[in-house]
This record gives sequence, C-alpha cells and structure tokens, in this order.
Amino acid sequence: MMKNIILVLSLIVTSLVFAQAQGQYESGMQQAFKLWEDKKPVESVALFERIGQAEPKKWQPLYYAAQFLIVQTFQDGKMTIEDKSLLLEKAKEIIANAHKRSPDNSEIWTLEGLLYTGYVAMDPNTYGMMYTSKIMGLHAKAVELNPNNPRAHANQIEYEMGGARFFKQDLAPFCERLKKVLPMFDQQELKEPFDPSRGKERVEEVIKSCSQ
Amino acid sequence: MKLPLIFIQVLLFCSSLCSQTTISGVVLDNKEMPIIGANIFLANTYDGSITEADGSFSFTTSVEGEQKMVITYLGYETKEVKGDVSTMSNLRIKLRESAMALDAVEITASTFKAGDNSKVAVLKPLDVVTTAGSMGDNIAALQTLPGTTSNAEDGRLFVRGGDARETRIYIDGLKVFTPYSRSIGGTPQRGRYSPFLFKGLSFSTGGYSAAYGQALSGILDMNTTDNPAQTETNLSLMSVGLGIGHTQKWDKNSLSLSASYIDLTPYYWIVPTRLEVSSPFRGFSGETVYRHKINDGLIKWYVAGEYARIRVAQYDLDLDRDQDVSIDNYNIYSNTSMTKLLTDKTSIQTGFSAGINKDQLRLEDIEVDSELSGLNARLAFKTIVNDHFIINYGTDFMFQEDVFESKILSSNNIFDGTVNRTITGNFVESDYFFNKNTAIKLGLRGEYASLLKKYELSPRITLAQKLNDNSQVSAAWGMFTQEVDSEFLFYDEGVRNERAQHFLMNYNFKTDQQIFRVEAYYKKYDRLLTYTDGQFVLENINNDGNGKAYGLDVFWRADQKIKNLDFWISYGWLVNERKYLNYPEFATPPFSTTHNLSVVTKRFFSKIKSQVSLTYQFSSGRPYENPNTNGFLNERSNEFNNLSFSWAYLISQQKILFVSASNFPGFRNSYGSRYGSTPDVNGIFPSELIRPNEDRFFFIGFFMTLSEDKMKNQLDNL
Repeated sequence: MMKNIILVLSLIVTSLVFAQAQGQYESGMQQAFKLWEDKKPVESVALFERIGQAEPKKWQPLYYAAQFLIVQTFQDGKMTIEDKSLLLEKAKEIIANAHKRSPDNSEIWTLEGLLYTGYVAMDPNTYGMMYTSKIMGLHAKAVELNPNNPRAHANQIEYEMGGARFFKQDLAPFCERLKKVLPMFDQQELKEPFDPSRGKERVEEVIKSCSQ
Repeated sequence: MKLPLIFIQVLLFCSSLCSQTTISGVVLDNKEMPIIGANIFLANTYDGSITEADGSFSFTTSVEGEQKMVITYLGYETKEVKGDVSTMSNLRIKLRESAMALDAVEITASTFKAGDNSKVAVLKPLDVVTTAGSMGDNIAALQTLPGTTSNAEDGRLFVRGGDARETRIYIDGLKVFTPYSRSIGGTPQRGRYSPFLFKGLSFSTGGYSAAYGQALSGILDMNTTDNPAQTETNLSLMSVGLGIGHTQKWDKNSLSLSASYIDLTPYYWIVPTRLEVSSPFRGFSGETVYRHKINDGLIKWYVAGEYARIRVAQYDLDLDRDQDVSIDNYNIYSNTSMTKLLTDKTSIQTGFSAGINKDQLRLEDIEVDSELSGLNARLAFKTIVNDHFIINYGTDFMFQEDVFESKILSSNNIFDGTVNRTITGNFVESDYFFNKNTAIKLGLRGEYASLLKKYELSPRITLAQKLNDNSQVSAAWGMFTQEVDSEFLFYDEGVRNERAQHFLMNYNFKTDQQIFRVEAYYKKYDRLLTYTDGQFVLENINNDGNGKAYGLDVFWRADQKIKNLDFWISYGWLVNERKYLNYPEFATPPFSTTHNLSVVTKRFFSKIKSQVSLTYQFSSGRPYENPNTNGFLNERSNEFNNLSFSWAYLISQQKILFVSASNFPGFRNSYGSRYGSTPDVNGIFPSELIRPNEDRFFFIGFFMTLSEDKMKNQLDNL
C-alpha cells in the first residue's frame, strides 16, 4: 500500500515538475515574443538566448534569437556597418549552433539565406556579388529539404525581384510565383510549438505593391 | 500517511516560492564604464536578465548552491563566474573587450588582402578582375598596389626593390613552382591560374609570417573557393580564344571542370605588332577542382594542365638579322589540401602540391630543354588558447629537381646538369593581445637545406598599437632567406642562401568609406649571389653581394566618397642599390624605378547597366646599361605612362559584354635600350630601343552563364 502511494506520488511529482518545465518554456518563449513586439529587441534576443542555453535540445529559441538579430540590421537605419557586422557575426554563430541541434532543417537553411541577405543589404558593393549565389544555394537547399516551406520560396523570389528591378524587367512573373506561395502558409504543419509559421503578411504586402 | 502529504506540500511550495535568491550587481568595461544590454544568466536555467543603462542588473532564482553565472556581450569576452548563489549579490563584473572582435588591432603590416574578411580586406573580391588594364590577370591587378614596381614587358611581380624570383606564390598555403605562363620576345608573362578559381588572396610586401619561407621580398597566397554555390555552365567567347566551364554540385561534393583555348592569330590580323610572329601564342589549358566536405572540415583537390607554344623572329644586334625563336611549354600542377577543426580550439591545415614544368626553347641551332619537378608538403596547426593568445605551428617540406640540357644541334655539343635538393622548415608563431589595442606577433622559422647541410633560424616580430577607433600603427622586423636559382646551383651546389632583413613602420587609417595607409621600409640584403663571366661558363660563384632598398608606400582608397565612384591611389618611392650577379659596382637594377604611381577608378552606371573602369599608371625611368658610356647602369629610360579602360555591360543577368583597351591614348613607352656584345669598327656598340610589341591592346569578350538560378553571371570572371 505504502509502496503504491509513494509510486503514485512520485509520478505526480514528476509530471508536475515536467509540466512546470514545459510551462516555463512556453511562457518564456511567449515573453520573448512579447518583448520583440514591445520594441525591446535586445531584451528579446537575450531571453531567446537564455532559453536556448537552458533547453539544449530545442532549436527554436536559437532560430528566433538569430532571426531577430538579422532583422534588426534591416530595420535600424541608425546602425553603423560595424554594429551591423557584430549582430550578423553573432547571428552566424547562433545559426551554426542551431544546425547542430537540428540537422537538415529547412527553416534553419532559410534563415541562413536571410543572414547573407543581411550582409548584402548592409553593403551591396562588397557582398552583393560575393554572396548572391550562396544565398541562392541556401534557399535551394531549404526547398530541397521541404518543398512546401513558404519562407524559403518567398525569400528566394524576393531576392530575385531585387535583380529584376535593377534590370528593369517585368515583375509580374515574380508576383505570380509569390501568389502560388500564399496557400503554403495555410497548409503548414507545425510539429512542435513555436515552429516558424510567419511571413504571410510580408508576402501579401509585396504582392500588393506589384499591382500598384 | 502524513509524511507523503508534507512531502508534496513542501515540494509544491518550494517549486514556486522557497529560497528565492536575488542576484544583483553591475557590469563594467575595463575603463569602469557601465555596459548596457549585457546578457547575464545562470547556466542551464531560465534565470537571468540584461543590464540597465547604469550597467546594473538584478534577478531572482530558485536554484541553490554552487552555480555558474554567465555574462555575454557583443564584442566582449564571455565571462563565467562560479560560486554559491547566496554570495551573488552586489557583484562587480568586468568584461574584457575581445581581441577577436572585429575592431581589434591587426597584427599584419604590409599585407593587402582581398576576400570576404572585411576586417582586413583592402581589395574587394572582384577588384582583381574588374580593374582596367589587368586583362583578367590577378598578377597584373596587384601591380596597382604600392610596393610593386610594374615592369610592363615582364609581367611578373617585383616587390620593393626585389627581383621577381624574390616573391613566392602559393595556392592554399602550398607552393606553386612555375606561377607564370611562358613568353618570349617581350610579351609580358601572365599568372597561369584563372582568377575566378580564387575567393581571396593575401599579398604581403614585407615582414610576413614565419609560416612562409624561401622568399626574400614578398608572398602571394591565393585561396581557392571553398564551395561553389550551385550547378552551372559558363561559356566565354573572346577575341583571343574560347572557354568553357562547368560546375556540378552535390550534397557534400562538388566538381568544377574548365577548359580554354587561346590563340592570338586572329588578333594579329587586326592589330599591328612590331614582333615578327611566325606562330603566335597558342595554348590549351584545363583545370579541375574537386571539393569534399567532411565533418568540421573540407578537402580540396585541384589540378591544372597547360600546353602552350609560341614562335617568333627576334632581331639579333650582333648578327644584324632576325633569329627564329620558339618555345614549347608543358605544365602540370596539382594541389591537395585539407582543413579541419580537431577540437574547439585547434584546427589543422595540411596538404601537398606537386608540379612538373617542361620548357623546350629553340634558338636556331641551339636547343635548351629544362625540366622542373617539385613537391611541397605542409602540416600546420592553429590553436586558439584563449581570446588573447593564438599559436600557429607546423612543418613543411620541399623537394625540387631541376634538369637542364643545352644542345648545339649541328655539332651535338651538350652541356647538361641536374640538381636535387630538399628543404625542411619548421615554424612557430604566436599572436598575443595585451588588450584590444596592443598586440605582438612573435615568430621563429627554422630551415634545413639538404645541399648546405645547415639549419638556419629566421626570427620575426611585429608590434601593433591601436591609436583610436580608426587608426593604428605597427612596426615589424624579420629575417628572410632564399636559395639561389637552380641555374647557379648547377655550377656550385654549395652556394649559400641569400638573406634579407626587413624593417617596417606602418600607419593605417580606416573607416567604412575609406582606407589610408602609409608604410616606410628599409631592407638590408646580404649574402647575395655574385659571379664573374668566364669565356663559356660562369666563374667565381659566391655569396659576396649585398644591397639595400628603402622607401615609402602610400595607399588611399575611397568608396562613395565621391558619389558612385570607387577609386584607389597607390604611390611608391623606392631607392634600391645592390652589388650582385656580375655587377662591377653598386647600382640600381634595371627592374627598379624610383617613383611608381597607380590610379584606379571604377564607376557603376545603373542607367546603362555598365561598370566602367579607368586605370592610370606611371613610373619614372628605368636604369639600363649603355656600354658606350662610362659607369654601370647609369642610363635612364623614358618615363612609363599607361591609361587603360574597361567597360562591362550587363546585357541581362546571365550575359555580359566586356570590352577593354590598354594604353588607348597610345603613349610611346620604351624600357631602355639593348646593345650588341661586340663594338663595330668605330668602337661603338650597336643599339636598339626596347619597345613594347604593341602600343595598345584590345580585348572583346562575351560571357554567358547557364544555370537554374538566373541571377548569377560571370561578372566575377572578368
């Protein structure tokens, strides 16, 4: 009798502790997203990094830490090249770590494409020619791993549009391709909580600008 | 039953409330200034915070006992503090700026880099090929940098008063035995390897790393591309030939094949040349690169082969008629290298290169065959001990055999020789950063030469000090040795290595938009090779020569300082005197010019989708020897001027039209005079002005890329 009670109790305790840990992960991630939405990028990235080191099996916190580092370099107009390089270097490190945790993950390859797009956006003269084909290769790899990854398709098409704008080519075919990507956003199957799912709004905006 | 209940209560209670410890403190830099936004947390927990505007932080934790606290901040060394959480309050934590940070002091004086490492790159990856006048030759593009003296009729690299042989060329850290293509009759030599195989290069004009030996003046190390981005096919159609290349990419492997055929025949139909060409330059070349990814590393195998033939009629002053000269060149070079991370802190770089070069020179009745076979192997390690201390160490081995045979065909008179030798080198070099602003590099290289049976040490040192965010000064000293050319070793295998000492002072200023550097140098040569001319052979071969070279190199590059314009200006001032070879007295050698100036400009015109580049080069008169006057090497040629133009037009993402013209204003350049060896009846030596074969050179090419990705083009091939 006593044995059984202890067994039941210890099961309860374990599941409590487990539930708490799970709850901690979820609330931590949500808090980090909230910080980002509240325009506190440094705090947000720091929290994702903390979660990333406390949860050595999860790649998602690292994914967002790196993504938000890269996105800052696109958004912050006041940043110097030196500052941006620091953020991108750090993102590069985090992405390498994320690859180790989740090899052959289409989302991480897409993110690496975004990283080098960040370099090109920062200093097109230096990095444009150097990284263009690398970015293409990263997107291709991401699509190969998951042909229905809408972010991999969208980032690739947007990058190609940059070149087409330069050569003053017709953008309509790119918009047609983007329209085909839209349904992929609705068909995403999220295996784990916080798997990347965003990007639809961005694609819709670009499509809108096409028709103008 | 009571016991377990209490147990549960305690557990539930504890997990939320019991023993909440507050951890607090302040994070400062080494100047006691607060660091804002540092990430501070207990390892393997969620508990942490970032620092406020005053550097302070505070957070609570429920963990207890011995814990590890981690503090990270961009550009600073990560710090770990171990201790009992109960003692972690009111902490004062100081972070050290990382010496690995992007803005840390650099300990590389005299080095120009091109490639993706923006910290030290002076040249952008495409500069090598988009510089007007370089004609797709990376060696020619480097001659727009200070410290080089451009010898337009020679084409090779001459660095700071040194002979061309004093600058050694490497691919992926391994020696290239015959880096230049063969030429005769005053046509400049070109780099043998196509520039688009390389992702970057490092060109050092003095004070270089102990990892390199056997070079008195300069080192050029070119790095092959690690990983091609995609599968593609390239086609090129040029006014001088055809080229085709294909790259196939798989998951962990990639293979690139390329072949080209160069023929100057059609070119000479259109452009007049002074050279009596009976059979213009014709050559086939092919290259293969195979790359294989391994865990934390990469293996690369590169092999290139070339056959070229040229035949001209060259005027001989003594005979007063044209002589028929031809050269056939066969060259194979292979390079295998591996880089791999062994542990978190140590990486290995190893590999070997092998080369065979065969030249067959025919000068009417004389045939000269020479054959070189060489092998270079290398094993090097790099250990990052910590953020302030890096050690490079390793060993290298070189074997070279030179066979030489000279025949007079009619009389079957043969003069021949063979020389074999090995050189084994060991090196150790440490970079120590006292802090982010001050660093020292100490290097020591030892070499054992089999012919001399001697082990010789060459110490090297570089000090660097950062003055402020944008500028730094550095100073370097080093000893460098190099064996004499094999043509002298045929006579005497006991000739010692030549030796040079470099003293350098460098100032470097860099912002996002511009780079300015100025460097003063003094080079002291001793044990230079000397000989006297005997009737048929060289006599008195010895190491009695010495010399000195000193000067000032200035480099300024600015991008977007003037809207849309990217330009650089190089100026080099050089004083060079030596007594070597068969010189009767101290003199400035013919390849050495006092003033050297290059202005390179590039501008992209979006409207016409074109990149236009203009390059101007100037050098003062070159010394030459006039036997009709007293003294030695006293005469000076006219100044050299060259203005070149190139235009790359992007027809679409995958098609490019490229047009270039060297010396399009047609400056009348000459490189001094050559004289006959016997005086005429009046005691005057006959002479002839040395002029380039063509004043202008034109090039038109059409380049096309076929790939799935329609954006890639061959601009980086130009």
